[in-house]
Amino acid sequence: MASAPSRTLTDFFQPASKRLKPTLPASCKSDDANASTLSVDQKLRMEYNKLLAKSKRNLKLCVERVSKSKESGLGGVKLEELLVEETWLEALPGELQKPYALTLSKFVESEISGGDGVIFPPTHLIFNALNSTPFHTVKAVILGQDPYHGPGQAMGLSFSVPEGIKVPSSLVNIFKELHQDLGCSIPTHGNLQKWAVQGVLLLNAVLTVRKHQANSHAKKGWEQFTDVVIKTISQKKEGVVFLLWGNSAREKSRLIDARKHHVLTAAHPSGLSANRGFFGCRHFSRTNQLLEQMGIDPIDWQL
Amino acid sequence: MTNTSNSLSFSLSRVSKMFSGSQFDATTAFSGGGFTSSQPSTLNDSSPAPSNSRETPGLVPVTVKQISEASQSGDEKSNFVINGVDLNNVTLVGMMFEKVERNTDVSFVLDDGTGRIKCRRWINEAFDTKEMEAVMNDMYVRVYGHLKSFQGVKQLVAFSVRPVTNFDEIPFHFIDCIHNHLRSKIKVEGITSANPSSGSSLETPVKSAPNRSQASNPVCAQHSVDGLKGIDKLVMDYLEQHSDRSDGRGIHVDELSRELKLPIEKIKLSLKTLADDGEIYSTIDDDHYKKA
Repeated sequence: MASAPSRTLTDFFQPASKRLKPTLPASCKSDDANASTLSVDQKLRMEYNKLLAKSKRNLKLCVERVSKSKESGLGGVKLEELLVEETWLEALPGELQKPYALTLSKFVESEISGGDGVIFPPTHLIFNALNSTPFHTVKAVILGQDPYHGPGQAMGLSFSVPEGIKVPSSLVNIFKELHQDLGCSIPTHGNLQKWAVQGVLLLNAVLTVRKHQANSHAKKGWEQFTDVVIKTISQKKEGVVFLLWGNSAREKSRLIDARKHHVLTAAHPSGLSANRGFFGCRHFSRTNQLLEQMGIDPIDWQL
Repeated sequence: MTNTSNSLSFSLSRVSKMFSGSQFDATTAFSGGGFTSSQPSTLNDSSPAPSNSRETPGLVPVTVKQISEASQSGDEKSNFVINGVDLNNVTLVGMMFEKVERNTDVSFVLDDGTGRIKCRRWINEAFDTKEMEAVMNDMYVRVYGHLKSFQGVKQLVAFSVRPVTNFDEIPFHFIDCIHNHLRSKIKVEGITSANPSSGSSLETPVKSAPNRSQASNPVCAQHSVDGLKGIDKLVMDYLEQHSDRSDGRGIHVDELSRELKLPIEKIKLSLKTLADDGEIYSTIDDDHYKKA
């Protein structure tokens, strides 16, 4: 097992160095001095931390906007103000100003005004999936249905729960499959932000939910918005891996151009269906194989 | 009259055995001779709970509606949760219906106006039989029990069922539910409000830093107007001015300490604050940083 990652990284070194030469002639010169050459590990670490910092700034900006709107005493912050990642605003021009989105925005704002803790995820995390995975970094998409509806669980990333919250059974099954597939150890927490920062878009079809009422915000307009997100990825990018688990997610394959992208399907990881087609799907290793074939850095799935 | 008094004392004595001493003061209950005094005692016993919001309350007053909204986090053996607070034993007040007596148990439905819930009282000894004989359909009762889920349906396994004789107890119970609900909400929000306090405690060292540095480092004097963000600004400015290094490794903390003439501990504290906000990030290792 120890040798496998090493070989993988070695395989990546050549394509990376080849790509670097044309664009960085200065770097080519500095190659003569070994001490100044960054290793592949160091480059990956830097890129990850840079993206993580961007994610933190986006989150901080959302928190500030929510606080400001509360202080002003006006109605809640507008939905469009909570999507702060510029690359998505460029990829989805004017989407949140369309009539259906304004209707959706009014609905969500009225629900939120019913009191703190009534709507999940917390207001500043509604667009966390997009704010944490910039458009240009999307390598894979994992589609969920709607946020967890228990207190403290939802964090705007599909299947993910914050540290300190009990790992839901669907996510436990995902970790079991990951362990079986790639030998990753089972993490003590269910926070998938590390995946999101690396380019795995953890998108729910519906981005809000009423407390304790599963799928209560379905058919309010979220599906139209997230369908546009999926279509935009399909149209404007190439070689994205879509992991579609369960019938609801599989229905979205009609939005994806399978000639340009890779679509992996399996049963849902929930306790009721994990044994009928999720366990054994090996989607994590298959995703990394596909990425490597395209010369893209694989996902480090170990949390 | 004497018999009634003895029966009541006996009943309270049974109840007191079901709770830990700290949760139910039998002496107070006896001296009160009624429900009114026992409830304040219960509330008083519950007051230590706020000191630890994760502590499971001993006995929680709830309505049937609250129970219907309670979530069960795991398998059927785990506790129910309302507003993030674990339920162990609960107490309800409502009208009894559909009482069915069997050798092994007495089952009934309790309706408190917010909903109906099935209840079961297992018969293990003569006292159980005697207590259940004293209550009948269409009568208001006070129930103490433990929540269970049976085939997906929430049920209450009762260990005490007593008739309501003072009807002030009915509105009191609803007020008690409201009080307990609001208090648990305050606990949850209290945790949230603790964060700003924690934040300010993190800020305190930075506040004091400029004052202390002024004496030892004249360079800081010109930045004193920046207040608590003085050092952060110095670090950010330096990282920005030297962002085009050809090796791309980022700036080492030792270099920052040397060039800005500040102690390494203050540099590291500033770097942590800036990194948490996403303004900078560590590069090849935890000692090299770049502006994001």
